[in-house]
Amino acid sequence: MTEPLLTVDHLSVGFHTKSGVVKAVTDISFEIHPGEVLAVVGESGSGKSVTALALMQLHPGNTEITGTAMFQGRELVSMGDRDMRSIRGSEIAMIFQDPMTAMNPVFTVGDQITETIQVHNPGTSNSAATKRVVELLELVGVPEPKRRASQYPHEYSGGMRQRAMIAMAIANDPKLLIADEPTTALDVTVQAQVMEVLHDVQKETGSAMMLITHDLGLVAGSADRVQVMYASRLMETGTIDEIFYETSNPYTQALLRSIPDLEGSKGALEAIPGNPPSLLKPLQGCAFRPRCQHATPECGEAQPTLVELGGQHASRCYHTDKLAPIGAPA
Amino acid sequence: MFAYVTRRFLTTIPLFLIAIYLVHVGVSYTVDPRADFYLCLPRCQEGFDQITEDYNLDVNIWLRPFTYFADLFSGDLGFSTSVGEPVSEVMRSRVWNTAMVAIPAFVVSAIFALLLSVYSARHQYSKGDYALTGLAFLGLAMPSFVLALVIQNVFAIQLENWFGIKPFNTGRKSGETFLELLRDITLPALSLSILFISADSRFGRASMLETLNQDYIRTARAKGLTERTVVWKHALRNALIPLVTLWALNFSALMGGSIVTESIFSWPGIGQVFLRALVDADVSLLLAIVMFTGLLVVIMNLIADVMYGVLDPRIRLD
Amino acid sequence: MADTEIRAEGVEATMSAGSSNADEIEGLSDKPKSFGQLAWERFFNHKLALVGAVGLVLIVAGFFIGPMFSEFEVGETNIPDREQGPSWTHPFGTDELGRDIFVRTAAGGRYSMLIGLTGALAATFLGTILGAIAGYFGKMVDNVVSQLINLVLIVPGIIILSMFALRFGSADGVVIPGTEIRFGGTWTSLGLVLALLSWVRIARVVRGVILQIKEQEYIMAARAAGASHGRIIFRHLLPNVLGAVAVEITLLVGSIIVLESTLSFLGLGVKPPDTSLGSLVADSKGDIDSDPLRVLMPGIWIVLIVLCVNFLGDGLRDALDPRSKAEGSGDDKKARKAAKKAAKKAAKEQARAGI
Repeated sequence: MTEPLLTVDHLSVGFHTKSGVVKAVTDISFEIHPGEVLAVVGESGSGKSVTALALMQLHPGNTEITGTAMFQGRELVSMGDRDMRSIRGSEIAMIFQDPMTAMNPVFTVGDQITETIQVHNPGTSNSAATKRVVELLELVGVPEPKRRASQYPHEYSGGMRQRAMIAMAIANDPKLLIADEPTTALDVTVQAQVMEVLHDVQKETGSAMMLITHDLGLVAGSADRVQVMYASRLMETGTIDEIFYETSNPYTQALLRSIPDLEGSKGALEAIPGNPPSLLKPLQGCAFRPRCQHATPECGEAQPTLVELGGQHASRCYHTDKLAPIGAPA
Repeated sequence: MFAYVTRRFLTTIPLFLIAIYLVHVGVSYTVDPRADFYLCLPRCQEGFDQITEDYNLDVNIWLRPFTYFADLFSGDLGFSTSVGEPVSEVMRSRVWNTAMVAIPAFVVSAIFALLLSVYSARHQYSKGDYALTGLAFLGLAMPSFVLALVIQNVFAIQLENWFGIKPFNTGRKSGETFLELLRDITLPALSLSILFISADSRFGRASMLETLNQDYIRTARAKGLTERTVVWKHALRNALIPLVTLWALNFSALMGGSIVTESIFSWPGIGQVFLRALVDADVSLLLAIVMFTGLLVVIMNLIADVMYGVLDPRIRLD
Repeated sequence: MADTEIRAEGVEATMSAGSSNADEIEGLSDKPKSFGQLAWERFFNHKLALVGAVGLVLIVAGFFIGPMFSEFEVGETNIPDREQGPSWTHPFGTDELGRDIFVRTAAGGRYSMLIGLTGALAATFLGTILGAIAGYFGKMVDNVVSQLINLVLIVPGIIILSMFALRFGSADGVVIPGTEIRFGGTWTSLGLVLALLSWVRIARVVRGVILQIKEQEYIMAARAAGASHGRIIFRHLLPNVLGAVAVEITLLVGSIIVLESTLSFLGLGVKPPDTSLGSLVADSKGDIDSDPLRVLMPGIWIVLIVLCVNFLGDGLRDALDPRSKAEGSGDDKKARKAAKKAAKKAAKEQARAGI
């Protein structure tokens, strides 16, 4: 296997608040290899977005981060400002969730993309940058790219705006693209289009991608590997086939079961009963225990460790053997 | 844009005229130029009749404004009884004097308010922020006359008592040369600036904070821009928008002449002469001042709206 | 399309597994507090608001109750004792006519505060009604009211105010025997005029809030149920407006007090024998070179009163709408410091572990 692009080792993120420390991410370790797509899946509050923000040091002020993240031989968590700035937008780029608010309303789309080009390639002339901007917009499928470049974000539709965000992110050929819920704020019909653009772009540029989403359905067509997070912890990780066909974690199983089936082979919507736990006072033992069908007293004593299951598959559960593999959703 | 401006102008003009009409009626009701004459009648009948004619006082109060408007159109603003000069002359010199203090005060307060807002927002909850917030609170709670008296006392009188120097004179307009005038305007301009800086910086800080919390600021940082670029280019452009509107209104308030400050510093501007006209029942001058300030407010409001459209592409008006 | 019936099995299973055990529901958040409770908490946490509240109580006590301990009257001159410094009989000393300054200051302070309050209430009353009508009925009515607002704004307040103050200043009115409260005359007419010029801000706020919530569903539901306009305005809309207006009212009180003092200073406000803090400064203005502190003292009281009121207003704003203070309260600073410390410690340990 090739040398990993990103190695995250025992990363923990805590927010210091008036009421105590909120542990948003607890002891996460994972790798991303060049050119591969890692999907990070979980509910809101599971810590998936926080992980990504922590990697780029985009977290708010009252945050405490421990652990390391090695990116191409450099350590990200303790990196100084100037070095971090040279990486952001050029080696690692991020696509945010809500394209409506993610772009500055007072500057044209073209200007905002030009900005990122010129910051990381000083000496680029305005005309060269503009040419590149038009190229990029064309690549992501924005019609009439030349005219559109001089328009403002509010003149774009939601899907187009997200395409423009993608264009901005790949402008400097990043090695790693982090897409944080890129389609959540979009209409369902547009979601598929944007995912397709993202997929094509990733293949074309050969960059690795960390796709963060709560929608397992999105993941099926695009990811190489999947990692499931719950209540700040890593629950299961594996290749897409391993996760979908051979899941060995009750939470992942419940997630898969809850995907609505358009073709109607299931009778009822299967929600996961209960609520995610408070991150302020973490539970002893497994985080999913209160909602887990397979829970035993053992689960409440100590947190299970990640059990290697062969291949790239690992699951954090005491009962990995008891779970019957379920078929992939239709 | 042009269409919008014209449209706004056309809708505001009638409003403006109504305002002036009402003010005229109000002034006529409140102020009687013949007040002094009632006691000496019938001896001073001639003077009495003269004033009656000059101010059209025999015309019904509700119709009188139109005679005033008629005079206006022929360029006649009337004669100022309290100053003893034609109103147009009075206005010209007084407006110039007020501007001499108001414009520097405006520029200084705008710049400082901006800098303080950015600093406060970036260093929220720091000692500096708390100190500035405290000062802003103080400025907001202080009536203009208290501030003016304190400044005058400290800088003009106390400095002389302690150090025997009078660097700013007493804030009176006494000089002729540019430097002398600069010295003279310092105290009154300082007095005015402090009040506006207090109000503006609170507003600017809030605006800046709200802007800094927006998603696109995070995107800007994610692109690898320096914090300085993020704040001064991306954030400021947005935070400035509501602030500019405030500035436009501030300008009209400043140029309207601060009655209190000018009185205390004996500065011969519009504010000071307004007080005199009020006490002396100088109707023509009163009306001219009201019209001037009213027109200023209307124009600055319009400018504020236009600036809003210029700065925020989302509401480009056509 | 399959039926979407949500199965509650799992819920039952969790409930029956001894869920009353504290350990079982460990990790779930505490029972949520009511809005009122949260608001009170935030208010009390706001140190400035407490300072303001305490300050106001002290000042009110001082000005309203204090003079009862003094044997002097407001206008009582006593030339032999003039221009004395502070003493037991004369806590603030005497002025150039031998009048006790404390009693005069207290009288002026009472007047200033009372008229601030009255003016603010009148302005709120007027502003709320007009703003509510404009916001609720919209279109034509809104247009008329908005133009009215513009009209008022065109001619700078203090100019109009001055003119009317001059006129109304000479009326006398009726006095309630035994008190200083006067109806008609300067007191109420001044309050009225102050209100007439300050209602605009409140009207704008109310109009804005009503426009916002007017379209919300519970309003439409009420209308569908046949509620009359009045009922909707009073029962549904106004309670929500209260929060936003409460803050404005405190600010209004402050600005009216400042406005009145300025007018009185110019001689256009209160008329003798009434005094307000502004006129007290004006009266002694001549001595400013020799005894600046005595001259400015009433002014300082104004600043203190308005400061306290503004602090209260800030606390109110924080209590009722904490989001308006972006990024929470000052305790975040402690949180950030703690985070920095912890991160430094962790980094040191990692360095030691040789990562």
